[in-house]
Amino acid sequence: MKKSLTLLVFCIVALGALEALAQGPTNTIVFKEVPLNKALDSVAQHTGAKIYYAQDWVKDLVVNGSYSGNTPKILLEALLSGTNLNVFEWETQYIITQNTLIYPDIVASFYRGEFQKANSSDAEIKELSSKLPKKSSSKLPLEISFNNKTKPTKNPLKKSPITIGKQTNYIAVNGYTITGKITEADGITPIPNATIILNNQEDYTSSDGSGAFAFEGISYGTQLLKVSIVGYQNIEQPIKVFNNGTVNLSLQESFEALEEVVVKAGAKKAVQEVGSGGSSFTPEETKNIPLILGERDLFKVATTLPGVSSAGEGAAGFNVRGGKTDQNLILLDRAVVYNPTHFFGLFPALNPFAVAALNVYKGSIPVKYGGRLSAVFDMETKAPNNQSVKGEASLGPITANLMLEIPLQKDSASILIGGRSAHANWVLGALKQESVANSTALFYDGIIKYQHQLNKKNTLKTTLYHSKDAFSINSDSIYGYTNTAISIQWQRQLANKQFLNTAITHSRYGFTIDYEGTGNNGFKQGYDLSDTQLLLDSKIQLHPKHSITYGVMAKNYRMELGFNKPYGINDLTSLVDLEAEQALEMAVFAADLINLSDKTAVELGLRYNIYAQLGAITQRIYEPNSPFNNGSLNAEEVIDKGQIAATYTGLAPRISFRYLLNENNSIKASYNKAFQFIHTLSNATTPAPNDSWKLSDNNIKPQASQQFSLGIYHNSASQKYTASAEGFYKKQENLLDFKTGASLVLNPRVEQEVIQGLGKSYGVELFLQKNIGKLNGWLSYTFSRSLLQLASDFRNLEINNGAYFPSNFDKPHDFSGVLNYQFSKRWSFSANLIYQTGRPVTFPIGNYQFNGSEFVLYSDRNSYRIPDYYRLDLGINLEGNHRKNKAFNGFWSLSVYNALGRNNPYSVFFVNEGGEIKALQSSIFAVAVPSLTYTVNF
Amino acid sequence: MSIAFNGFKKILTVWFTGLLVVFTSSCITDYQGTIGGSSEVLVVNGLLTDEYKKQLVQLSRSYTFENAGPRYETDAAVSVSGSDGSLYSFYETPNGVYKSIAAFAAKAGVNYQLEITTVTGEAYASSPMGLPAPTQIQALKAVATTNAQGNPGISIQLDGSGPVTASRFRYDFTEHWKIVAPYWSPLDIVVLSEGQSTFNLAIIERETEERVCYGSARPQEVLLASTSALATNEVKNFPIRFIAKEDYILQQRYSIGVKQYGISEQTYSYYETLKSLSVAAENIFSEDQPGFLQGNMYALEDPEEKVAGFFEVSTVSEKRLFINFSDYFPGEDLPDYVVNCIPSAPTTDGPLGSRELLNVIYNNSVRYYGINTERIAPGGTFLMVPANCGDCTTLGANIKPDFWID
Repeated sequence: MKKSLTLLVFCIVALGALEALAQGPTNTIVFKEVPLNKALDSVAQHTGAKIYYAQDWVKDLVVNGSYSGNTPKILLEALLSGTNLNVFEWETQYIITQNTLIYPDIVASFYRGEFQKANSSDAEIKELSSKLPKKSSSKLPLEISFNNKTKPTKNPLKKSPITIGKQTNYIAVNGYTITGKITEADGITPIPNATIILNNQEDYTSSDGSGAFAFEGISYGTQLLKVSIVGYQNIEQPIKVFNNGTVNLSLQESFEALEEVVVKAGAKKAVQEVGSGGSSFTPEETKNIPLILGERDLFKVATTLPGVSSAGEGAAGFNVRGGKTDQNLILLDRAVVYNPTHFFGLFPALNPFAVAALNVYKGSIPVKYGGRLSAVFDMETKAPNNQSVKGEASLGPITANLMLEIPLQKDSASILIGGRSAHANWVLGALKQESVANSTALFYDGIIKYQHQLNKKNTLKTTLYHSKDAFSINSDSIYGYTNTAISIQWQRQLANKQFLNTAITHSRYGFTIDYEGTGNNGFKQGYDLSDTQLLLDSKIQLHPKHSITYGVMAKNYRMELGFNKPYGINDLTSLVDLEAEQALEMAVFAADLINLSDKTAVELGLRYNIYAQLGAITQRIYEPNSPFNNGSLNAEEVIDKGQIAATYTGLAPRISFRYLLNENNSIKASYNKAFQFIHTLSNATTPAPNDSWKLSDNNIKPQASQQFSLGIYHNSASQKYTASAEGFYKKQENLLDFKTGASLVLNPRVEQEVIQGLGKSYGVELFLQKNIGKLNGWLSYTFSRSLLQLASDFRNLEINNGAYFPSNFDKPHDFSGVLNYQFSKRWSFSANLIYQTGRPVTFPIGNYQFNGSEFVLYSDRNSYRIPDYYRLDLGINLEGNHRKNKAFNGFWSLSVYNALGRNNPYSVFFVNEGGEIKALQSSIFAVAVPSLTYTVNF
Repeated sequence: MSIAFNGFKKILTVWFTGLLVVFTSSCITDYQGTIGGSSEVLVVNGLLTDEYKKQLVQLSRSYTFENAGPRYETDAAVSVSGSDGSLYSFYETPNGVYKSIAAFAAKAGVNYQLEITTVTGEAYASSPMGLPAPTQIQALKAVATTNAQGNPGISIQLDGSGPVTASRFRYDFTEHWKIVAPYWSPLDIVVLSEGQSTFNLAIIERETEERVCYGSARPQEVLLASTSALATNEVKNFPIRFIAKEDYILQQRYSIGVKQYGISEQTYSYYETLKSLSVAAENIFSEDQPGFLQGNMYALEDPEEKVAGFFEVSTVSEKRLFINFSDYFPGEDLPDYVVNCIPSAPTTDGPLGSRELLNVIYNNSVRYYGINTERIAPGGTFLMVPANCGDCTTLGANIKPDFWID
């Protein structure tokens, strides 16, 4: 179907004498069951006219009878009288159009933006033609000037125009609404997150989970839609808009698209979008990027973005624009995933085959997201194929992964089932070290998604996700953690331009430590949290220039703050069970995206947060204006169940502004405020899987953040390059930190260990991306600082004398390069290069004697740095052959992680070796780590 | 051995074996970067109690890892002033210890401030510290039991109590044990002279007490108790010390003197942090955030200057306990001596410098026991025993402590 669309235009050139037709006598031609195209040929021959038409329109049409006329136009009109074809005369050329009646005068006046009855004068037509899209021939006023190039269309695929709506004599002032659906070649399987661009970036949108998209306020007449998404051949679809209507477009899967590592849509969006600091990935795009131990990881790719960094290998979480790792909201189909990594952060906990896209917001955060300060990582699972069984499987050195999409009811209901498990124990067993030989490490995760298109206007999606990790460091203790996320989403189209999304989510996270012990000191320790959320949001296009998003959210938290109990019946471990906490977080939000002019757009958003800690809880009340300790503890009050223990409210404005300098350049500014009511309790220098969360209460205030950003964005005219420069300044309040040497585990009065302080971060982020070509990829560089101030009226609550000092993740220079070279359609080579300033650390600088014992004297916090981090990864990818109708497509990927074998320090520590203090450094991957993974999809 | 580094090592050992070694064989290497500042920080170790005595403050400097011990701060002017207008001056004694010229006891309701001016003119002062309420040791007892690892031994436990306002306790102890050298001889051997082909040895009478001594030790960790989480302000069966049954210190007679300090909230929190910075953390995944521990001493001129240590004002209560092994493990064998005493008879053969007997006498590793008449050991004429077996001063002091009751 796609190929036949590319070549449908003929050009017939008459060879006969031209003078014959000028004012010539009436021609009469008699046809007897002659195909229309043959008839037109003979008209051209007889009259010498040049006739343009599309072969598609005339096929199957037959003419029968005798036709006469003294001009070719009359003759042609007679010939076409019984069809839906019209004739338009332009000098000596005749253009046949389908459905369309060409009124050059009306169209011309429309382009002038007014209605007037005008004579069809040459002047006006010239004016018209100069305003037409560049593709049109200079000779013809309208782009029904079909070109006859026969070279195979490559990228994008150009298509013949589609007419939308019935032509009327009036043109709507506010334009028309076009809705549609982007599907795969089967015309059914939706493609979410495709970018649809109108007329070279006059407007853009992207398809939602069901492939649907909509444009409002589209002008009358011919427009061009460009659709692009990685993994599919891009298309350019001209449309002729006469009224509101629908256009469904299908994309052909493209193997050539492998050359594009990152979604071009994101690149184009970067200029157009009103918000700054957003990015989007699909797992497909990360396919060619070198892997660690054979695992595809969207989050790892996200850390190559400017402004996003991780603490290093083996550290869970990432720092965005100088924020703590607990300040990122990680969502899977709207449900929070509290720990998105397996095995100390080495593997993503989310099955890459099941994820359709990862959207990252670090600058302007849309109002519908809240509750975390730094960034949103929003993952959407795939819409399972509802036509045929599809799947993807991979085998790597550590994990095996299988994902299946199964239609349950053709065209409407389908299910996705994904499962992944580690088989790392053989690696552990193969090692000689005795301490490791007894160790085990296992993890798995599973996902089920059910999607049901109930009818044209209602779609139901449910997702169930569960992951578990269990590992034993030595033979007598087992660490484990689990994540669960459940989401039920109902998408409903209320009216033509109004959508309502309802989501109910439930998330759970917990960890356990089982220690068998020696003798009778065994214990079981654990922590558990859950949240349940109801979320309603709606989008309405009030006016072509206003698009409003609004909604409400309510979330209930429940946290079991921890327990410790004997492991076996003989163990003497005393029972600790900290009181559970509950809270309700609510928000109402609204945002208005206003197109002030063609070039200027502003989004005004507001989110109002209400937080209430609920009973039953024992509340500790301390003496005002004194540090929290048992001496200043005035009272303990029991707040009954159902009563409110503490309340906080906050108004978070979010404003974004965009000005298009021209088609390919824009500048943007934004202001963003956010609140956070839950906090991780960790005084570790890097995040760990057994960090527990704590709710804000009467003593621990919510964290708040304000961010200003300003950026300039550029797309080269050819779309080949994208570049951006963004600057940000962020101020945070009530950041949670802890006293030096704080004891947080199972501490029932943890507020006594907390210091809340100010954070300040700022930076400049540069990003350059080459989107297409054999060599593609991106370079990103960030200069940023992340500083913390822990000052107090009480000197023992101050860190570093209350001055600003670098946070644990202050890495001023951060460079990432992700490059991919496509040797051939099947072979590609890729490389990552990462460089980061070493993170700040606190070093022991000496010893001192106190009370007859020797103690270590530490430096001020974070006054030293570990050595800089750099790493080169290499990958070679072999795509299966490109035969079209084979049963499956295989993909080999050979990666070498840390190809230089750089011994990147993860931490520096000190040991006492025979009375001598020695500084040692630890690293996770001190050598090059090769891995080979085979992926197959069918 | 530094207490603090034990913790580090343990965390890291677990961390590496658990994760790092999983994928690579060599994850831990020498750190090549630079560490450490050279500045020597003033360390204040001041303790003012409600005992009527000459109060003590020790001043020293922190030292780099290459150095074995501190340099003591000399020639400083030290005084304690009370909010009641009292002022106590201190004078210097060896090892940086400053003693109050007059004996005095800290009084309730008075805030005391320690003031120090070093010889170079830098002035330091503590924040004002009040005297907490007095507490009592109700009982100090020894219980034959097993420890958490299931090993038998004697647990020294304490019951203490305080008024409602005193809920924080710190413990300190000194333990002593009697040592009787099992292979002591009243005689000793000395080298009078040694030449290329000749040497002179002499058997002489020992001049000092080397048979019966008293070993002593102090706690290796910070001992803290808090009753705030308990219903009553009483500490019950607080474990002060566990002595394994086979520990030689139980062989003769053992004594422990425990001091219970009633400490303020601020003091408690200082010691608690000191403790947590020096013991293994619970978190195996990542290093806990360390940092400079700010006590209650501050530099007056330069607020950036660090001062380590603490000026503590506490009430004190004391109790002593004596233990005989047979009272707790009747009929059982006494613990073995600290070392296995195998006698030897080094020869005097060979040229200058390679005469075995003379060499071991020079390096002080053996003691004379007798003449090797029964050929108990092969070799030379004299029967020698390891120094620990024949001379108890290698293990303790040869002066009986004042409090010692046999």
